[in-house]
Amino acid sequence: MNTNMKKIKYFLLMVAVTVALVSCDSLDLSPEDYYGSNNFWNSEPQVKGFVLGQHSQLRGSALTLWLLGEARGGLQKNGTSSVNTSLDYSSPFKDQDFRSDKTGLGSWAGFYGRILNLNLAIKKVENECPFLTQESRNFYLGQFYGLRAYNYFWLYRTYGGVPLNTETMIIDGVTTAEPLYMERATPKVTLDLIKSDIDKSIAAFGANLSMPDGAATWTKFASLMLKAEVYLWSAKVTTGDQSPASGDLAVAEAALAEVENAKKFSLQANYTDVFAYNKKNNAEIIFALRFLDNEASNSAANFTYASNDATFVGNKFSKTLKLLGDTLNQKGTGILRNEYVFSLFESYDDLDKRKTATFFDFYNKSNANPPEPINGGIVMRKFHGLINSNGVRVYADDIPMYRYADLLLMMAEIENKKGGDPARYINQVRQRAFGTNYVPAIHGYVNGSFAANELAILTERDKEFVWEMKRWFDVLRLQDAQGKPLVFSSTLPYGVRIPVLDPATESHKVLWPVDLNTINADPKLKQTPGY
Amino acid sequence: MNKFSVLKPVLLALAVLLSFGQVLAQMTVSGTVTDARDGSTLPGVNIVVVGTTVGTITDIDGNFTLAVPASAKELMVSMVGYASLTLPIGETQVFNIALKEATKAIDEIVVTGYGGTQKRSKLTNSIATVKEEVLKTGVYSNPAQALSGAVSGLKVTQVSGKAGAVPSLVIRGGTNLDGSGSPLVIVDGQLRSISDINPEDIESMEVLKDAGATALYGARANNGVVLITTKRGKQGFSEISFKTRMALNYMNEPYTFLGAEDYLFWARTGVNVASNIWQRTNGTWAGTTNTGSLSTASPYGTGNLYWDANGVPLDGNKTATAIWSPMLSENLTSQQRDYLLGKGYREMTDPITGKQIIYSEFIRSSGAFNNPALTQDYNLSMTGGNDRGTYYAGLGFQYADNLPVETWYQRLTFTFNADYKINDWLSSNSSFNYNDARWKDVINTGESNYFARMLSGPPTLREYNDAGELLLGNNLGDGNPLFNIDAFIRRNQTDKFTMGQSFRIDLLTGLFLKLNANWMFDEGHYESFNKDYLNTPGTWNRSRNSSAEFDRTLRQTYNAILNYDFTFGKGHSVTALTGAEFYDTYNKGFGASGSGAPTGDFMDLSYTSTKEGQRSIDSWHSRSRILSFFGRANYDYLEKYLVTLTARQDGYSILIDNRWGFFPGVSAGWVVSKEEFLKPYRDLISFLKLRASYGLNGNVSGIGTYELQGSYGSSLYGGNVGYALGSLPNPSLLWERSNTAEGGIDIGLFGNKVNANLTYYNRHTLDKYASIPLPISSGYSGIRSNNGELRNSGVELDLGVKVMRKKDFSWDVNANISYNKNTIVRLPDNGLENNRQGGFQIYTGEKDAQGNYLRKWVGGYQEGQTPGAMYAFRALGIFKDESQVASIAANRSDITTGNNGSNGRRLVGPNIYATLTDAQKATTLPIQPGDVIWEDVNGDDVIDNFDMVYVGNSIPKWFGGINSNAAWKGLTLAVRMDYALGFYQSDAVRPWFMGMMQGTYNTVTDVTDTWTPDNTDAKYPRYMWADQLGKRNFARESSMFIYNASYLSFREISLSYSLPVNLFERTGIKGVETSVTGQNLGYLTASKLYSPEMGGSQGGGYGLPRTLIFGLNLKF
Repeated sequence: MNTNMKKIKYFLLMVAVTVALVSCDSLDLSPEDYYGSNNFWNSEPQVKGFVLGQHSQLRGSALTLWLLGEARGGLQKNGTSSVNTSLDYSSPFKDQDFRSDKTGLGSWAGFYGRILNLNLAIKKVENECPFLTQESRNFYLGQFYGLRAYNYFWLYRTYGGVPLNTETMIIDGVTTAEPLYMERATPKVTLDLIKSDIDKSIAAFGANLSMPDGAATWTKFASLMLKAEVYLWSAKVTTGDQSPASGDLAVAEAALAEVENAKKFSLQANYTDVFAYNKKNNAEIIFALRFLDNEASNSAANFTYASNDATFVGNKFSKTLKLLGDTLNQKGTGILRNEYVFSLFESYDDLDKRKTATFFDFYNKSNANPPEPINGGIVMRKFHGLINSNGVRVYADDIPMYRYADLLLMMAEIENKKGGDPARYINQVRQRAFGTNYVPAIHGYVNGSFAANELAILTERDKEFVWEMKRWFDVLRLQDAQGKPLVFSSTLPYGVRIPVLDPATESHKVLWPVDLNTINADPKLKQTPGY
Repeated sequence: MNKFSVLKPVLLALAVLLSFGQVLAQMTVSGTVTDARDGSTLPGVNIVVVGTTVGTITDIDGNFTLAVPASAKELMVSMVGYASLTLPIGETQVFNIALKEATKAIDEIVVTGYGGTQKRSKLTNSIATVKEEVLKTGVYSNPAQALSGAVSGLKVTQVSGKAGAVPSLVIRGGTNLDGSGSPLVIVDGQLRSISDINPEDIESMEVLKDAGATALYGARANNGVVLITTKRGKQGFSEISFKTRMALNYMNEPYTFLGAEDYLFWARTGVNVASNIWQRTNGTWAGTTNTGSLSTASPYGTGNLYWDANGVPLDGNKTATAIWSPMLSENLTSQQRDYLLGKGYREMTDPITGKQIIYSEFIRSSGAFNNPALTQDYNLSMTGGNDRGTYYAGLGFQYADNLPVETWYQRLTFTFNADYKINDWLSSNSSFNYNDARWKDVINTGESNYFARMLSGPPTLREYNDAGELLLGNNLGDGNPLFNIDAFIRRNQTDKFTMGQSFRIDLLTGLFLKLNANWMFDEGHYESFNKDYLNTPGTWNRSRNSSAEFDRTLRQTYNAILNYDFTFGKGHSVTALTGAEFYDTYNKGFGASGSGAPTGDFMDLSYTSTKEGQRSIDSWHSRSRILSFFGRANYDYLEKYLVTLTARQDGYSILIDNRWGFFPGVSAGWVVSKEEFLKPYRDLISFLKLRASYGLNGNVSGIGTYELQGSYGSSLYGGNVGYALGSLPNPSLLWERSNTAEGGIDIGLFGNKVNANLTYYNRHTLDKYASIPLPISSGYSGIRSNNGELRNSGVELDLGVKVMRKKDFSWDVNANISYNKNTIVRLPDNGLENNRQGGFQIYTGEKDAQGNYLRKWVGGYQEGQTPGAMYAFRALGIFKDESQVASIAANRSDITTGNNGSNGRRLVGPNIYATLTDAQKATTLPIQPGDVIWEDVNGDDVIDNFDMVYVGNSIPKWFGGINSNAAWKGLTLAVRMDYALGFYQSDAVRPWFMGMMQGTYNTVTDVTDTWTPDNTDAKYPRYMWADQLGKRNFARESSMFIYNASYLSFREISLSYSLPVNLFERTGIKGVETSVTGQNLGYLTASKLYSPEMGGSQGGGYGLPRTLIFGLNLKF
């Protein structure tokens, strides 16, 4: 009997222990190492961190921005490079062979993930976050509205009218597709949203001109530069129902003047200093994507030769027929997957310091007697990064999105469109480029016809902004004598394809097609006209 | 020892029993009992008069005499191990009885989970037991490797020959849309991975297939359960056993590459052909490249240098111009030429220029592989026990070299299981299990690429520089792996400790409580250090990266189980079990890395540079819990009518609003052979059972611990932490639920000489996780929902035949075959036809009324379809000559996009080509002899991406195994084969080699059957440089490289010999067995890939090596 009692006691004890162990609350667990949805937007460091996170995401898309802004610009070789490597993005990007089933990029080039983040941030900072002071709330709103306008402006220039999502429905619990279907707004409605977001951004910044992270995060100056760029575009480019309005140019000019009047920005004396790793945040940079050794590298390695490539090293010659080794000290990095056309390199004046700061040229030796340099090729020397303390080459130069030289050349373009003389703006840029070699009578630009000025601005921008994601938009915006975009011009001085687009058969290609998967995922979506 | 002495206690007991019996002798019967197999006499057989306690046993010569009452009608003759007989007593009073051996298959004990066992004859579920001999013959680093073909319904896929690799296990087609889904693996009650378990420690493995059985494991068991029970001691039995095995592993790859001369011929020709595809109006030739590379410093180029301009030898580890051997003889002095010829260089005539090329040959794979690689396996086990306590201890060690040089796997295991009866109501069971695994993998590239890259490396690489030092080659990933072999230190180690303690408290007769606690530490420690290494010629990497990581998962399982066995009435028997379980798993770890140490001598992280950004650290934590209540009841009436009920309630922490799930199961059986009406047919049908089961299971696989709570991901920007949206919160997600119904027959024929089981199942998974595609403009491309439904249905047949049972000779054959078909029943509504997800369009070959070519959506996932369909362009042949091009493709254009980085150039027939300008020709290519004739499905003379056709399914329809075991005296011959039928593979590597897609690498000997002007009836299209930038004859999904992958694998053939015991009579040795085994001997298949086991598109990889194993077992 005694043992039975004991057994029953044991049994009850065990049941009690089991029940205690297994209380249902024990199944409520939350992450220990990061924020879940329920514990974010609770403090200012989180909001500030969210700002940085958005820039980190934008930086992550740098190669996509290059594909959108430069790969189609007509200055990229396609097929095989000068060192026999096969070139990336040859088709459809570099040869313009866009079709509805060959769109190059899909999923709206990845912009909507960032836009959702920004929609959420705007909603939270505008309506919640009681811990924020009015001043910091306004500054963050200035950043988030500015970034959203910036993202939509990339989409607008690429696709024209796009779905305008300013909500956060899938975070708010919508888990079915149907309520999320959204048709493309007209180009005008799209551009109006961009303009309205810029106004909200600038209004929120108010008098706050601070640059807490230098040029690495969005500021009022970035919003003003964007405003100038948007209105300059608006003043010159017709897309669907969006056509130039008379006041656009003045708005652009005023925005640039506001940046200029802050007296914060100026040209660097040396062109190479603009991009130098140890001169991040120099006075020329208004807004840049920040890259750092041990944090993030850009893709410039794919624009230069490989140091182990015997097709280059020990096989290519300088223009003076000196056998080249690993002159750029690549430290084992690099592969030539994207090559600029040699004729762009040849278009630089030899005294223009940008020529060798931007490119490195190489040749084969001909069999003639005496031998001559033939089959010239170039790799990119700009954005060449640093050799870090471990002796490893790291491609971690910032990529400027807005800088003072851009401001000057936008001023030149506005001046020209107004019928004025753009030469003084162009020549400021040239003077810096030539440095002590600059002789105004030889190198200075002299005002010409509207079309000549436009072409001069384009070629100046080509030389100045290599790899800064401008060229494709420049040829869409700059115009010939008839006011037609230079993308259709047969008089461009260099390039892989002249005209870049055939006006007879390819006029629809100024906008990109939308990939089938994206269209299939949303029955309200229509393909870009012409595809 | 003979049979008699073993039976002594039994005889004694019976004698005592009989002495109390009432004896009313009225008549005497007598006789002899013999073994039906060989006629030998059987002592100790029970002879009992049915319905009385009157009986006797046979003497040592098999004779008996028994006085029986006059009322006696029948004699029951029985003995352990033999089928009982009932004989009528009538006229006959002298019996000559031959007893047949009973079949163990029917009476074996099956483990059913949570300490439960069941006689197989009473089982109502699909639970397969893996026979011990399956685990005994080969050398395995984990038991999953031994399961190929062992169990019906279980598809084992082994695609890596690396020691320690865990094959994928899929039961009954898997519950995921793509046909995947792994069973739970439970070892002695502890959920864990199957890796690193020593097969020698395993007592039994059970595969639970139907939901009636797996419902007991509830929530996560819809892909089935594998129960592994380790060995424990037995009362009154003691033994020490030592086993050793040595195995030689031989590489088994399906490619033959060219030697240096053939390589130079084909590569140079390939470049030349690609450079001369079309003629400009000025008469010059152009193509997708130019012949410039033929004279550069490259694998096939002649611009390589042995000496510099001053005649000083160049070092290929310093300059890239001196790594490859080909040069033009005319550029050398005669002294230099003789010097090289003396060093083994050879000369050949360049097919392009007609000049002499001097070159050397180095087949890099000779330096890159251990062939054969050696595996050593040692096991020592001890077991013993008395009436209070028993124990089993096993120590195992395995060291296996892998085929790639300097890669290996090592496993040390120790198991100690002890049971002790503390008093008459309390007993203790303790288990301890320790696995330590260490390994080193390929470093310079991934395992799957290693084989293809090393084998296809250009054979013109120079092995040594002039000073006789080894050369790296072109770079770390593609160069000679021996060069940097000492520079990379990798210490990978995992330790798994399992500690289990349980107490059994016997409360009343038949009622006991079992309390179990199980802890498993699963730890990993990983260190890595790169000394200075040569990255490319002339470039040393001196970053000296060092990293260390420690990761621990502690799994705790606590459960309490109350079990009650009772009988009532006449023949009603019940076993009931109820329990509760709490499972907690907590993972934590930390890691650090650094670089920039001043020297390359020490990996200690403290030497790494303290400069900003040179070091990084991280730590991580995650926990999940499951709380469960479960029960099971087995009922039978006279072992004839059988019913089992199971149920489980589970709550899982990773789900939020729908955390709890209830999972019931029911199964029933009817042993028809026990019915009177079948008795007359007993000689034919010795056993017959009908069974059926139904159950519900759950699944939450593939969901991160905190994923449904949503997250904010972090990254650095400008040196500070930034945040952005990570995963979306998804609180309403609930359990996937699988309803499984099955019905089956178990049958034994001819005295159980033939046993067969046939089962039909239908598993319907509801609330299946499916990603709903969302419009991209929402910010996310998809979200997981519960809107899918998938059906697996199929048939399984197991067949066992005792072909031969003679005195010294026995032969058993077992075979199984399974058929499975997966059908997608429902997908989330998305407004598309069949609620299709993904996929692409192809032509149907028909037109609508307006003359438009009709297309249909295929691929991806669609309702009503079986996933895994494969599509490709159908190659109808090769254009032999210009006239055939003109007759078939004069107006054709090919605008397909191709693969492998193709630039999708338009290909056009001669009529179109003639209209093009030079500028247009530069971006277009002509269709020419030597190109593939692609099928134009819709007949519009345009080959586009819609011109693909269905070529097969990637998932096997039929699979199974065949095993044969024959023994003659001490010799045993075991053969194991397995097969899968009715599925297809697409070869992603051979076209890469044959399309010269890398640009300089070697190609396979199939190149000799490519189209050339001299070989117009060739099997393959023309070999030319970078096909993906040209004609896409290889760089597209092509029926030419789709294989029917149906295979029969010769998994094992083993011959073993047990030496006669009397040889060792006085040495204490109880047994000696030697064996020789061939493992993974090859496949009978049409596939030309390294492994036919996995369908779909497959690249290169580590094929299972052919293994020759020598074994020796000693028992003391």
